[in-house]
Amino acid sequence: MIETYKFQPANFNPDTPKELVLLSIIAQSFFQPFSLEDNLLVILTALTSGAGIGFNRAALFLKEGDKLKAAMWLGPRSPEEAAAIWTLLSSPGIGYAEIVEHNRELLTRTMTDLQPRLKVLTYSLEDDYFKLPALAAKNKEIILVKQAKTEPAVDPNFMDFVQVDEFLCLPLPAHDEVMGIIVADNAITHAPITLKDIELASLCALLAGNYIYTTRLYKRVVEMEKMAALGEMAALVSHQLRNPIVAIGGFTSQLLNNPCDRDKCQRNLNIIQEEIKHLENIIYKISHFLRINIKELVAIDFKPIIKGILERPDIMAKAKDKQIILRLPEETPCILCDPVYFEEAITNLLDNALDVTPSGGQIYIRASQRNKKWVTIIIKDSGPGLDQKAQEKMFSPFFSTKESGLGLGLLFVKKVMETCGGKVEVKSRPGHGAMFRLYFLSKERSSNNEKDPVSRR
Amino acid sequence: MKKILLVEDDKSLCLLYEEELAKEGYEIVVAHDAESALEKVNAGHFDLIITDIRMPGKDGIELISSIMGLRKDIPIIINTAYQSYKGDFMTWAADAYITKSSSMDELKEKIKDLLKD
Amino acid sequence: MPELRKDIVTGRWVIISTERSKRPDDFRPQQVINPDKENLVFCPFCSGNEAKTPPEVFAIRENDSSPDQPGWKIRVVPNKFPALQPGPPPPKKTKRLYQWMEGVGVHEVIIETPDHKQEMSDLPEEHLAQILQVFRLRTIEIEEHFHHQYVQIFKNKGKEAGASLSHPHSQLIATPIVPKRIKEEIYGAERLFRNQIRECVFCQMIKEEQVSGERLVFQNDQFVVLTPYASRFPFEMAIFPLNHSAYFRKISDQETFQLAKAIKQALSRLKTQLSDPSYNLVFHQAPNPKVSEKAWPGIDRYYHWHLELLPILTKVAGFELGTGYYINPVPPEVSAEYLKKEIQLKS
Repeated sequence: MIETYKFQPANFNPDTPKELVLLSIIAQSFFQPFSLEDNLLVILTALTSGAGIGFNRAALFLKEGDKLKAAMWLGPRSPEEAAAIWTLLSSPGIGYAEIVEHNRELLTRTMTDLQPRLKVLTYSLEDDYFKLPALAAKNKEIILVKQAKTEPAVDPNFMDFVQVDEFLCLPLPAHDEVMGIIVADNAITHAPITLKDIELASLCALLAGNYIYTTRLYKRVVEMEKMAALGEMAALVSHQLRNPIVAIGGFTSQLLNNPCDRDKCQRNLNIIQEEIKHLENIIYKISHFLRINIKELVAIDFKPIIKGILERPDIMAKAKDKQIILRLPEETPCILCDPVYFEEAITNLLDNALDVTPSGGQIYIRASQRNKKWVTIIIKDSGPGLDQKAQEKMFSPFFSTKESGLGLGLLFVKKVMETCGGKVEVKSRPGHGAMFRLYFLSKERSSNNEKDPVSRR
Repeated sequence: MKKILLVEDDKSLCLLYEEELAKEGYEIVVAHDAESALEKVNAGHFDLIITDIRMPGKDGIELISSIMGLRKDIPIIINTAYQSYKGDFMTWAADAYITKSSSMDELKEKIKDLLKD
Repeated sequence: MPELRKDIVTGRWVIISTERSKRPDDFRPQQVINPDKENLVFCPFCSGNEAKTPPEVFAIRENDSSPDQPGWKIRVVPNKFPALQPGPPPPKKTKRLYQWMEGVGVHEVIIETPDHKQEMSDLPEEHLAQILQVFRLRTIEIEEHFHHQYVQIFKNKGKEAGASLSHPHSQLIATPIVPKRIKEEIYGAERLFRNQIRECVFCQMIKEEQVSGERLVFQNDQFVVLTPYASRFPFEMAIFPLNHSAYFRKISDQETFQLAKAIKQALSRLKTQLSDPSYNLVFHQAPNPKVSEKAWPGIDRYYHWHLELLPILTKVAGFELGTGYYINPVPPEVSAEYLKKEIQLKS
């Protein structure tokens, strides 16, 4: 017998052990794709919400370069505010998601007020002598400070800010470093910080350290990939531009040296105009490509769009001596995509197919419902095909087997497919043409044509 | 009259170079890729060869290496949009490496230079 | 369990995988095609093609032969098409077209032998020693100019290492600035020297390695070849002089011979045990003394010149993470085990 369960947020009834609740809260935050802010907020929430550990307030300091800077602060500013918040939060039906949402709002509201005061709480990690709370970062030890007002090791600025007698400093370790510290206290209830509290808090601290480390790592990787791609692009673009520029420069020079030769004038100006168009084409392709901005995905009926493409004059001209075989069954459902970009993507592929297919050759365009989820559209040409190497490189910027081609087309198609939740596959063997299979999410035809917002990128 | 073989696939540039170099008093023969360039070198005599590197089919570096196998003494100028090939020592089979620019002065200078000796 | 190791001088972190279950075959690369696609008939470095190289700046040649003609054993020429200066070069004033380079930097190619196929690992010791002499002499001459602040001597073998030709050659580049990675090494060494017991950290490390032996590949009277504790790459090796010196250029004739032997050992073992992989061999030396004496006074006490030998393997490779961490799947102790096997060399 098989029983299936869904992943549920934990329900916070009083019998649930605190550790379980804590882990559940934090685990759920994994659903957020690397939004560092959200994840850290979750941890502070876990530390301060009655449903978590139950400190009253928590402050987060992040290591940036060689400094420790106050980044986030969560907690009521007065007993009255505290009472109001906790009443709200302990109402029945309030779960984890609501608490986080509430804290997010609270954070936005309070941070603007606190920002200038928090700025003062910046510690240099290069100093020889550390005061609390930064000392926790240096020694990588959890430090519980009691009778803080009379403890000389505490930074007076910090005391000014927290104005509390007992607080806990937690370093956030990751690998061999400390990513920051969290300071938690019970300024409102004045409840003593117990060993149990410290155990649970240290669990939070470990997770927080790891989060910050991993998110920063991930960001760097993304940055580096961008930089690499950009660098590559920049180099290739400047090279692509050179030939037309050399031609324009040369023919212009000729004109300047010989302004009276009318035939030459005519011819040179024509060539210059052509080369300028060529340059414009390059620039258009690049900026257009970079700006793929699909705001909404709609369920579209692709059949009339494809038929429309076949009637474009430029396509018809190219297809004059070739055969395009269409198979678009009526019962194929709609697909999720942006209609304009869909048309461009198909046109791109069809254009390529027409370029490589020899006179008398055939091009197939076939749509089918592959399964419940996917509708596929296939474009197959009878050109020379692509070898393994070309197939590996074909989606990289500027790949082109044509001398004059700029080669952004396939990358554009890939981007469009990715944005609408689909994918593109290529199958080819040298001598046997190439087949491009586009996978679109199938969307039932609905009378009011619901729109799916694209997830924020 | 000195005879120059120009190996270049961009048609506009071919036209430009042909005209400008003819003005300097050279006879220009054009090839649009490495294969046809090699055929021409085999078939006749040239005083100088100017070649691009990025071309459909065999690239310019393979071309000049093959030419070295036939006639070591023909002066060769590499004329390309790319700086990066300078890192490839195989380009030393050529006598000059010029980065394409809208002014043909450098190219004309180099041709004069190499045809002098 | 992976192990985190830190290179104490450069501060680089390496993640070493310590599983020892690798078999010898795991390390041999797949068959690599020779860099200059064998159907290419021309090599500008070969004897007979001297006209295709710039005029030589130095050569060791037979007594009755002339410059830029066959008869040489080792030949040094400047880079024919240097990419150092953007824009067109200044108009040439003399017949030597390439001298304008001296204003900006130096890039020379040292053609190690007239024989296209005779690799450095197979050269007679005496020939290899002469190549090292050439490195030294060129360095001294080039460092006469203050603006040649740092001389990099390196050798790329194989396509994967960046060699565009297979004819054995090395390169020497002099730059008007000291490269960042060298500065890091110098600062690291200086800091350790200052904070430790005032002894060169490299000397300390060499002594320890000699005692432990687990990363020792080879040693002779003057040099030690080892796999560094925080190796970034599988089978990475370092060659250190036992005689403390910051400057390679101060090497004695006797040391030169011993170095040639050590290099030969290292390269031959690499070739035999790992089926002739591509590699980068790089000199790490102090900057031009004219510069070091001002910028890093006392550098000769804490910096220790050495060679880095980095094989490039295809099957089992290391790689660098974006954070600057390296991941090395082969612990240096394991590498050393394989490389310790003596090879009978023809000297």
